[in-house]
Amino acid sequence: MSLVALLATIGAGIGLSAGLAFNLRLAAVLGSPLVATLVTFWVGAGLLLSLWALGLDGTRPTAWPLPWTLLGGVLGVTYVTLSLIVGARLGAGASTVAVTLGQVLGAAVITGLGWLGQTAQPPTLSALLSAGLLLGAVALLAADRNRGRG
Amino acid sequence: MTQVSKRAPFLLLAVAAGTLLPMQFAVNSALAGELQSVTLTAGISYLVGAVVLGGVLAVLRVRFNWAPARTAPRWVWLGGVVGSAYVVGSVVLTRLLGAALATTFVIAAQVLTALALDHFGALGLPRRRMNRTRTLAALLVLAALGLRLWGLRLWGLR
Repeated sequence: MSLVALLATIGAGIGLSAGLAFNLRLAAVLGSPLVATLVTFWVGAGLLLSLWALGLDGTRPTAWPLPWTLLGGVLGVTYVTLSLIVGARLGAGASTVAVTLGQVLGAAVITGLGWLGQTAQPPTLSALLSAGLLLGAVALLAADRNRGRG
Repeated sequence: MTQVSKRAPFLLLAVAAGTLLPMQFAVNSALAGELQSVTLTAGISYLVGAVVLGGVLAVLRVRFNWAPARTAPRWVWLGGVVGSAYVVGSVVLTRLLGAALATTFVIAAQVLTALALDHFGALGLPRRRMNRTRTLAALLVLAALGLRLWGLRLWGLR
């Protein structure tokens, strides 16, 4: 595992967990989790496009990208909206475990079949076991959070 | 039983929602391949999301209140800054390792960070210290990572 991959992992993990905490707080302030998400998305877009404009990385693209590659943000919005709906119905614990199950299943299928521009890599036994352990960890954390509340 | 059957559609919806995240990893990774820039890619992902969500909120006529927002601590507005680290990190990881491994790493890092934030009660979260259950969760995450990185050979199982 390279240093870049390690830094990306730490950045993604902290960004996701801390981002959720920020969003919870902003949602309480604004009275709507979706409006909080909207603010978060605009701030993120502003920051990242500014960094790009400053020439932080990469070169100027010379051609328009394929249209389907632009739809990542639509998937992100759909994800946030659906997870709010199921979280309200199932409670934070059960919905987190079910969403995580979807993540590992989706990842195994997309990569396994080489969809969406991925290089096909069939899932291995250790990958499946590893996904099971992660789900167990997420379930334990969710159960412990529920206990603390009750 | 009725309780289970009422929840079942939402459990399925939750699983379906989860599949969207690795899809977003793969789509953003393909965009980064075209644009050769992770900041432009992640910025476009956020921008497209913001425009679509703005449209949805306008159609739904969601109301919100800016008044209490003025008195809130300034840091609550900066979720998009830490969120940017997540989007950039996920693009970089997916480019390097593929969506499957990237998803494993991100879930693992997310659980470990959540344990740490809870333990210290950071960012206005209620403080929940490490206990046996949480230690076991952390160990499972580390085992999952070890298994993914070094396979079963290390355990002499293959």
